[in-house]
Amino acid sequence: MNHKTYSIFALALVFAVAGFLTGCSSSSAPTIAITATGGTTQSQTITEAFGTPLGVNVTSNGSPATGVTVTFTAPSSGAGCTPATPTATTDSNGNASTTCTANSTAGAYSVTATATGATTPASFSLTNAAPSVFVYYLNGLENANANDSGVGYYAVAGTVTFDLSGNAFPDANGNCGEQDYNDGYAIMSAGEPTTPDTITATGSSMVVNSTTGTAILTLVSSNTEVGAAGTETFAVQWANASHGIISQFDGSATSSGGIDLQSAQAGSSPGYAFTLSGVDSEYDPVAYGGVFADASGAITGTADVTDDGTATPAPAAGNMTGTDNGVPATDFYGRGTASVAFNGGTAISVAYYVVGPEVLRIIDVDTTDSAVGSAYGQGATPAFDSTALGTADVFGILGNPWGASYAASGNIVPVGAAAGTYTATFTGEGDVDEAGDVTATASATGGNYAFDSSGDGYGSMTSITGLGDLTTFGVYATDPALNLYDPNNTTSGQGGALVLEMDSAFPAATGIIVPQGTIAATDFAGNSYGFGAQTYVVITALDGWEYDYVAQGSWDTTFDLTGGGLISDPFGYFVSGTAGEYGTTTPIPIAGTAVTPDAAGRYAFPAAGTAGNFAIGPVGTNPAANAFTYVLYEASGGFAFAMDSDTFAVGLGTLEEQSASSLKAMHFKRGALPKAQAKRKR
Amino acid sequence: MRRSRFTKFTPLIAGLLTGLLFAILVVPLNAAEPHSYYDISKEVTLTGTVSSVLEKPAPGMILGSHLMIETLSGRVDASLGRWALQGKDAVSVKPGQQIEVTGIMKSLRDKKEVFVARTMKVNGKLYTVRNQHGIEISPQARKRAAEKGRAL
Repeated sequence: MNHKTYSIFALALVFAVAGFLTGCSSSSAPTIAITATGGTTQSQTITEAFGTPLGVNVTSNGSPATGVTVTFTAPSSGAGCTPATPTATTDSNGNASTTCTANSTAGAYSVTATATGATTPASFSLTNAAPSVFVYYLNGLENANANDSGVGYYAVAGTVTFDLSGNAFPDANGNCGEQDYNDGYAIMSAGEPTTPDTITATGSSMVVNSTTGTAILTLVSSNTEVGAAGTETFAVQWANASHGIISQFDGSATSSGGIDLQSAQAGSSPGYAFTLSGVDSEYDPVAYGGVFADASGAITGTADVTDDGTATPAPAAGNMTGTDNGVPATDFYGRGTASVAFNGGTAISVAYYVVGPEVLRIIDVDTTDSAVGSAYGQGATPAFDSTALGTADVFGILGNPWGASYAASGNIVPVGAAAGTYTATFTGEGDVDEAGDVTATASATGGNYAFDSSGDGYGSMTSITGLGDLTTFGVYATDPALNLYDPNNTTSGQGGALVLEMDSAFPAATGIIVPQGTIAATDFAGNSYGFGAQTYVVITALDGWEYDYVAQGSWDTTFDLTGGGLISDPFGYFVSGTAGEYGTTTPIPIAGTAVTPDAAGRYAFPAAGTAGNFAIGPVGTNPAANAFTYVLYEASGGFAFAMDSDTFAVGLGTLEEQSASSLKAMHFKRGALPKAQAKRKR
Repeated sequence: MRRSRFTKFTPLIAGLLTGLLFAILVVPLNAAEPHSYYDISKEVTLTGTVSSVLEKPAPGMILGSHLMIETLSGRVDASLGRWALQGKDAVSVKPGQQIEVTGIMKSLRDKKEVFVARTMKVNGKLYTVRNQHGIEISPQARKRAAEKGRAL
């Protein structure tokens, strides 16, 4: 071998070794893999950190890879989140993680995590959810306080916002809501009519018993004159995750109303039906009801007024005028303002809170008058005729807390209704309690009804017989696709109308008419219900005459209603002369055994004092259950009016079927209910 | 001939009458009769002696304060409503005083009779406790009326 031959051999050897080494290296290079191990599917409220860190595990050839750099990448626009540490290094177990904070845009998106050497990233499916805004409204009796001369009327409406963890969700100013409070006399939101009180997130909360749906809502208001030095407590009974009944529960006042999840921040119905009830500038009971169109901020409508016993039907179409100032773009809570006048009189200033495109809660925000109510949309093209009341309905009407104490409930069966006609008659059955004088008990009823031929839904029921001294109602038709008691319910209970009582001796009473289905004795059997009532005591030695309760219970096949709830009794009805809020430690028992319903859907509990009567208690130190005469009028297995009809109390409430699955999905703090706040000085 | 012309126009007249009826019906509440729960035309004035003042009702009585008045025709339960004895310008009355009360007698469903008082005169002073519709006048309403110089 010569030198050249040796050189070639050596070079070949080098290549062979190199080739061996290269080949050896190529076949044994570690396989790097990254896998998501935590927080892979999560939802969080906008601007808040996700609860579970985004975790990964990196392996090299199946073994934990230490010291590998992991990069977390979120969408650069739209819904996304910001990782606390965009890059992280794996520990001795191959693990790395970071927390991510949702940005302010709601929506679903993916976050990826890549590792050096890994070809496929790990992925996380995240969702930024908007906070839940709830709209509430109530009216009732305010207790005597340092600002006025005694018991008075009051109304309150507002919003409160919660995140997915059940915490009060703060806006940029640390508030979680806003509220208008107005007693028309001494206490009202300071910035009215334009600026409401604010609800501070710190200290505000909702604690729900997720089994019963009974809850305590605590709101810290900027107005220190409301509640207990600004802290208001409400009892809430949820029927489902988006609707409940609510009562003030802190001794400063007692009241009843509703609370609903907000589905839109601006109304969008061309026409509305409405009722509004409260006190006028003379502090006398007043109520309004009618229909109006809202076009580009101009309100024009046809409305009835009943003021201190003087009923004034709309003398002509267009007797209601006003200006809708709209919902400011800056108002996160869907609150707008308007002013309206009736029959050319002095305009009243109102604020409204949007529940959804077709539902507004309205509150009078003038300094000398107060009222609260609702407006419901009438659909895209209102065209109501005598068929607007369907084939059968039930109704419930309750007197204004400051007016005459009375209640009425019953069913209505239209007769002779036909498309394109505007008048018809009705028959039915009803109960009426006029301040303890029970003037109708399952009485046969009848009368006429009519809607305006313009199709705007303005109407009336006249020449009513069988309902005691009640003879005339204003009736205002609403969108047949709208559920009046649970506006977020789009699958059942749709249709109906609003009602305003128009007899002179019964000022300012309002109610609703809702469709009634076929009645079967088994409709309630086995169902759970949220229920409650606003009740006026008519034989009382107390300064005030109202108590309210919210409760939950079940109905069995033998018509036993068994449940318990929270009672707001600031005037001391249940424990004679001793005010109290009851049921937070142990729900106050509420029970009764009804009889088989009649054809009108009327369930009667035995008269007070008879076995099986509707009973509330024991309450506080009162060892005896309080007996009442109660009747129900069923709309369906999902809803009924509940009426207290005896000689010592008058009340009206609702019985609403609960959705257990919906309640479980509620994002509120769960646990034992906190006791009501300390009462303010009286 | 005359008859036939009349006959010819009958459908038109009937149509006009129907239209008029329709027009009345479609403005539903304008024709509503005032309700008579408290019918001021049936008011009477009683005079007598106050035998007792019940600031709070006895069992079986309707809400609010009551006066038991001895009249020539017997004892009358006069209902003053929730607020007559409360607050500013409350009614000042004591047992033994002569009183003149204007209101209406109502029979409750249980046949019990109660005199629903609207005004009363005691010691020459006139008090109005209900309005012309029988609606009770609250202390707040009395104060508002006084502030505005308005008679109740």
